[in-house]
Amino acid sequence: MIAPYDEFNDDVIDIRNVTRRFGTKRALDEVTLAVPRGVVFGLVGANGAGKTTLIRHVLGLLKAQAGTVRVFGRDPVLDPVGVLSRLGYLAEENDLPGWMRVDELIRYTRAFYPGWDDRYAEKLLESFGLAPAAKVKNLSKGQRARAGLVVALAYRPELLVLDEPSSGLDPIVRRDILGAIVRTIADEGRTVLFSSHLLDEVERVSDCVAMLDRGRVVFAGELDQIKQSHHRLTVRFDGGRPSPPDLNGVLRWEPHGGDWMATAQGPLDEFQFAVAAVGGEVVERRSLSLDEIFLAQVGTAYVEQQES
Amino acid sequence: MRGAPQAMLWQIWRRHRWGLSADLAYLATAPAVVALIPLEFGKKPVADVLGLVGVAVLTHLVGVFSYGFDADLVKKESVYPVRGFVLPVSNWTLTWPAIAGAAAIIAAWPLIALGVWRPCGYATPLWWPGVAVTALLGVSQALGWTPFAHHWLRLVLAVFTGGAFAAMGAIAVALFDADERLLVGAFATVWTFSFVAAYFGVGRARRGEPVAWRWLDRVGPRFARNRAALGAFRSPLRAQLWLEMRRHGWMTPIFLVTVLACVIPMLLLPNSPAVPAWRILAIVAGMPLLLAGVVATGFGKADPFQRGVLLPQFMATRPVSCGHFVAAKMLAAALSVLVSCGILLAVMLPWFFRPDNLRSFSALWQGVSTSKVVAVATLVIVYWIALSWRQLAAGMWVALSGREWVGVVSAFGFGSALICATFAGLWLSYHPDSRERLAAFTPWCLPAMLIAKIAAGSCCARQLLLRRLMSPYTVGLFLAVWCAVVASSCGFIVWLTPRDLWTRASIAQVICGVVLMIPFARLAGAPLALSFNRHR
Repeated sequence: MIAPYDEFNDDVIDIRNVTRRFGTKRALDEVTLAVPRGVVFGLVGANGAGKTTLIRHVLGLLKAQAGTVRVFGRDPVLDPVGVLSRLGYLAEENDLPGWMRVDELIRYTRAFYPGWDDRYAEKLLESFGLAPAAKVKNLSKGQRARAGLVVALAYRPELLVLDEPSSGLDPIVRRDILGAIVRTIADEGRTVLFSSHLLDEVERVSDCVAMLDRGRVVFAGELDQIKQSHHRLTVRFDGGRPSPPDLNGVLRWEPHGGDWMATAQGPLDEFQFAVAAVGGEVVERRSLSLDEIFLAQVGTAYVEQQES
Repeated sequence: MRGAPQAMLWQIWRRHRWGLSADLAYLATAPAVVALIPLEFGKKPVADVLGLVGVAVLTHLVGVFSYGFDADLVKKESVYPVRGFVLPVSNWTLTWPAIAGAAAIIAAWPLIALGVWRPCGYATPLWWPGVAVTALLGVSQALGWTPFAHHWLRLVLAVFTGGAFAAMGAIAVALFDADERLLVGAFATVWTFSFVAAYFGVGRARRGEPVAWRWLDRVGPRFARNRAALGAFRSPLRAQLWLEMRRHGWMTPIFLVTVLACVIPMLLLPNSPAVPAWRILAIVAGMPLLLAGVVATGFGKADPFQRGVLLPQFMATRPVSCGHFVAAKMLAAALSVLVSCGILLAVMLPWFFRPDNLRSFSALWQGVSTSKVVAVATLVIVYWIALSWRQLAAGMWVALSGREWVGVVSAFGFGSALICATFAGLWLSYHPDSRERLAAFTPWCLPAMLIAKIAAGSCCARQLLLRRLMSPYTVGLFLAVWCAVVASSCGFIVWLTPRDLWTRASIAQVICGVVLMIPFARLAGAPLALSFNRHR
């Protein structure tokens, strides 16, 4: 497992040993994670893995039962104003007040942010095609997400937090959200933390990724590094084998004709050496997509959990 | 099952079988209990208690037959169960519970009147109260089953109808001396119209056609456009205050205006000797207090029409402290009360200065100096406004806590206390010898309650400071204002009391009473409750 980001000094988010229980269920289990300044940080995991719980800790909506959460070096529970004034947030459950009109929503929201940029807000409204006189409750789900983006971006927050922002939205709205992430990061020193089920999206825009599984961090690190450390290998054994050998670092074995296909994590040369020691040979190697890594890391466990 | 109407009634019975069984048990046993009690024991206290249970039974029947127990009354959709709309039956069959409910209530009331009230010596009317409750059921069904385009429209119509009911009763008493036949006719007419409205309401709900007043859609946006043109808010507190006024602040004034629309025609009538002017003034002045108490249940929520008490994420993630959130709510409550009381004063002043009323009031303050009368009147108005504000603000912490169980526990506690106090009051009224024994406890009870209050207040203030929800300056200022209000209230009461009644004990009791009346922990606990909700 790759070590979490505790070596960074300039971390926007610093989460240490956070544990959270809901009744008997442990939603977060000793989670330690750091999000450095100026990156797009993707948070991935299956349903119920703890992504939203973790984000709610970052926002100060949940209080850590054990461990510490620091955002910009501050505790979001003790100093909500200090943290939230520098942060933009958009959630899947977009609960903007339905009774407000879009212009009223903007008028209300801008009062809380001294750095509100009227021109930028107007530009966003125009590019998203939002009518100022429209009531929020009468907007479609995609339009509501866009309205949420306008009020989350118009003050150019230092940290943009997006919790499953594109779930259930059409590709055009998803493109707008990805565009917002790119625009935010284009300003130097700004950071994006976003969780998503759509791993191709995460792979496309993220610099760093953390994967959660049943409340634990499975891995966290730079995306390139993670991809380089996972391999799909075809292994041929002398005389064939009815079952694969038990090797360190192998996440999954699948039969592949007379050979075996291994999904492995760790240095390639160590794995090749271990295979040779049990009379095998790596005949083919290719790198994995984030989707495949996700399936290899949590797929089997997730299916077992769902079945149980 | 023989047919669709029986199936519908069976469904109601199955859903409410325990409650309806209790109702039937009451109707069967209450007359027997009254009959078995010997006359020398005194039947009136029994009638007071059993009669109140009878009223509860009738109210329960209204809830059952209007589907009020399973419904969200602030939703704009019909409260009629949607599963009924897909049954292969006519709208007439769907309206069957209206007839069944009316029949049940009409049958139940004479049993209560003849079995409980009359044997205990009360000359209770035999028909019109039952028909009045039936009319209430009809109105509840018409309002509940009809879908509306705006969710507040049902509430406004409900308040208006409630006011109209009260006005009908008052006019009947004042002008016609509560003639039985006239009242039965009037309430039966109301039920008939309500039944027709409920029938059409079910039809509208079935085809998804809500009642919409289009002019509201035209006027609303124009009004809002003018407001949006006002420009930016000067501070987050102003923005939050704007939101609170839009969501909660106008509710009490709107409800008050709705009720006043029914009351004003009554005020134009000549005064009845049975109802003196001061009593009318007291009833009308009590309206903001009563309406504020009703509105207060939703004031602590982010939106009065939301289900549940959870703080929406959009609100929770605004960069504003819990103290400022609560301050905006308290200010909105104050503005709401000021507007309501202002409206009421504007309506009541011409009535007050009507020659017959002025004569009636002059008799009350005969022999008192004009300066004292003016001072008392001013202070009464100030305390009236303050009490209305207290109604809105003091219970806010319950919904702000964001936990349903806090509401349930506090409602249960309040209800239990109210029931205990009612029974204790009844007991004392029939056992005057017990009053002295109770009075002996007062010197012990009041200080104990005072100590509990001071402990709760200190605990809240300490937590506010420890959790940095308020600065020491703000907490100190709040404490100073509270002390000033307590001191001035004590001074006011002592000033009003004749000197010969002043004793050390009576003054101590006044101070204890005032301290207990003016909320501290409940107000100081509001930011704590919000923090408890916001950071779970």
